Amino acid sequence: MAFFHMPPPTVLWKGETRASLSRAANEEIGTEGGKEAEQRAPVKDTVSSESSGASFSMELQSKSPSRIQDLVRLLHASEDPLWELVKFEAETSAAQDEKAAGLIQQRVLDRGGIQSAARDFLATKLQGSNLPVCGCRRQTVQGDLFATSPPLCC
Amino acid sequence: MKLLIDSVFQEEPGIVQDLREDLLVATMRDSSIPSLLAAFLFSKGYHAVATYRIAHSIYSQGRESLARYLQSLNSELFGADIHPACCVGRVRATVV
Repeated sequence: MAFFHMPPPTVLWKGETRASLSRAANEEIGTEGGKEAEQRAPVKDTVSSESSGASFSMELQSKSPSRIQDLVRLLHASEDPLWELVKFEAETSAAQDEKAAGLIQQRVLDRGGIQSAARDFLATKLQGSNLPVCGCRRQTVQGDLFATSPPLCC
Repeated sequence: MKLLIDSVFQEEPGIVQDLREDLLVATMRDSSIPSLLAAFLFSKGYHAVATYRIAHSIYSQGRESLARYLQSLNSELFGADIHPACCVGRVRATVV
């Protein structure tokens, strides 16, 4: 899918900027969206190491070349390169901030893919008293049972 | 809720791909989101669209009440009141 052929937006390699990525995205997609975004929110072309909240591009650039090569190899080999990128960012963030590591570990690193991660995350957020887990499970089990054995309904 | 979402993912596998694309698009277009991880964990917009996609799938199955319940939760939790019948992405117009 052509969607994943262009470099991911937050991974800035040495010499690359968000602006150059936006231009590349414009050429790829053929829209003016990137240019508008560029005008709306100008992003520093060079990232200063003194700026607060070091960006991910700096984190990536500070990685050893072998680490980056491993990531590229992983992205090529993976069936879900987007999730591999999310996990890579999660590992980097978890290594930098131990207090956030638990949250990141639970929400991202312990999950096999975006499907299970999104499912658990949304289920936790949307869990309300109006739709108790037991009731939902009972309905599902009964539904499956009735579907497989229609005489039980009578 | 987990079972419900799981069943939706199993019945309509295209939703997972939509969630991937939404994540990428949210990171690319929203200059306030610095990374994919931030979008996935902390972006209410992304969470709202993901919830809408589940509600839309449920609505398409004819389970209108449950879909509207998810719409209500979506509005309450993420501040986005998206009707489950509307189409987001790959269409000409979107009503939110």
